[in-house]
Amino acid sequence: MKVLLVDDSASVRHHLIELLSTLPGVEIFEAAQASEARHAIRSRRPDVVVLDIHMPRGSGIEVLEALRADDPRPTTIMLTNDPTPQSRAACFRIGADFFFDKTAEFQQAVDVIARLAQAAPQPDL
Amino acid sequence: MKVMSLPRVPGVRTARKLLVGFGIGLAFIALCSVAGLLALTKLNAIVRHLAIDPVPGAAAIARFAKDFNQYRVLEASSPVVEESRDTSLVLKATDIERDLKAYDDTITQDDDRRQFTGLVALWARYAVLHGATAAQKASDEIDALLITMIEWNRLEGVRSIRKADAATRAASATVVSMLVAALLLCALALHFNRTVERPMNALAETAHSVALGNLNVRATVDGPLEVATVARELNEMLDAHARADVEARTLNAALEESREQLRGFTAGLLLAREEERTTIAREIHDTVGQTLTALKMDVAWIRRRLSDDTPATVDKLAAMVTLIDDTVVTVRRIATELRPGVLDDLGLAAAVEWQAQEFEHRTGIHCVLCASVDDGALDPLMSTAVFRIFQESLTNVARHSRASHVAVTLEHVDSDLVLEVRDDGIGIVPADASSVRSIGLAGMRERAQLVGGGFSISGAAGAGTTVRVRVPCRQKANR
Repeated sequence: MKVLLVDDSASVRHHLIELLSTLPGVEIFEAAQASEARHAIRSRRPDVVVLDIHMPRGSGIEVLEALRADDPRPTTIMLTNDPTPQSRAACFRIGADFFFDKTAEFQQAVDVIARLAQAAPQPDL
Repeated sequence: MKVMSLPRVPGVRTARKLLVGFGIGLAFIALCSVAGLLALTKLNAIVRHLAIDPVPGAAAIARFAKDFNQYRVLEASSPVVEESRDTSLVLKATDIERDLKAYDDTITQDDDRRQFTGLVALWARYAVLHGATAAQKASDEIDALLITMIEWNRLEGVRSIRKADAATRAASATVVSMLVAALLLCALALHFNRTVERPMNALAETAHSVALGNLNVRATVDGPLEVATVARELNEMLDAHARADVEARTLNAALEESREQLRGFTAGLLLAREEERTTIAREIHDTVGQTLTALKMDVAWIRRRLSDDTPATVDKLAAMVTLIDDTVVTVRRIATELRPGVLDDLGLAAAVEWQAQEFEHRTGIHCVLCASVDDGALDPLMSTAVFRIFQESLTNVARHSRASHVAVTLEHVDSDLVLEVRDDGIGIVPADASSVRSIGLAGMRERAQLVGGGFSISGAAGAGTTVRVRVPCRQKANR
């Protein structure tokens, strides 16, 4: 299962990779900004996209909106440090599948990815 | 304004001159009229007299002379019948007596009376001396006296004609004098019209134009001293006013320029402040916030690798997590207060909604929002202005209104975006609403004006306060 991590903080990406790399069958790649994320989505077709919202030069919501027309659409997990009810509602309205507080709920995001990886068909070896 | 002092030219005042001129003219006409009336009365008497009897004595004396001659002829004739001649003489003598009586009635002068008395005496003597030698002498004397009297009466006629001529001349002179006086008065009136009335009318017209608001006109400095002085002073006043007007316009232009600079400065200041807040908020989010997140992830990593049989260490880690969470809350609050991310990520309506909820949660004042706008493409400057005014309004509600409910509407009206914040508090006093000393209200008004919008605040005692902001719905530039 291919997981794309989109976050402008290298430190956060590093820690998330650490957490996710223990999961079997998960291939992780990363993007530091919105445009980079859109490019990676088009070129590598991830199964799961973990999206930060506040990023320089474009927000995670813009990436989410760009994903609307994709078919099949990757599972999107919003992971933000600005978890207002408005952001949550807006993200779900646009098509996000999960919404987590980056500091308080990152473990839940990891757990969701773990479950998705378990359920995903294993690639032929 | 400078007080103008114009030198006075010494001289007789025009009005007095005119008064004297008219007085002399009128007196002259009055005198001429009296003289003319007298002359005409006299002429009338002479003409009337001449019309009745041009030379009355001359006719009577001529008849006397004729009758006297006939009397003498009768007397000298040789009558056929003596008695008949006597009768004729008596009749002729009667005629002569009648002639004398007629002449007597015409006498007006003493020398004429003397002559007449002499004639009567001579006639009486002649009649008495009838036929005697002495009668011839009386007859000669009568002839001589008749010549004198006839000549006297002729001369009297000539004198009458001369008197009539003199009276006619006097009347003519009077009429001519009156004509001259009338002409002089006409000339005086014309002079008055040219030198006084026209300049005064022109001055009056100029003053009227000034009264109607045309301050560019100038009076013609002309006419008598007083009128010219007034015209000059009026012109000086108008010039002074024009100079003051130019100065006022210059000052106004400078003031407007200064206001414009101040407005630009304020706009720049607000923009810089907003940019600074955004930068700091982002920095806090990107560095402190992300670092705390990473720290918490590290703590979680350690906790996973820590066995439960080291309770002191586990407790310490739990305390660290709590500390990190508290710090994250604080950091997020600071960053959000500086610049709420929801405004940049989701737009004005979402930011207003978030702020309203946050306000309700913080103050306990019930807040109802009705937002029916699509503000996704709204210019960030507009969004920021409206959002900051909204924040300030809520701050005022919390601080001053003593309200329990706030109703917020955000809607499109025509091509504008309108935000209304209405509370049910004590209501702002009109004097406070229009006060220039309220920094908060001034800032809200300034923010609205800077984006080409309008701001109003109104209230009534016990009926709450309403803040209304209206901004043009400018779309953000495509990037």
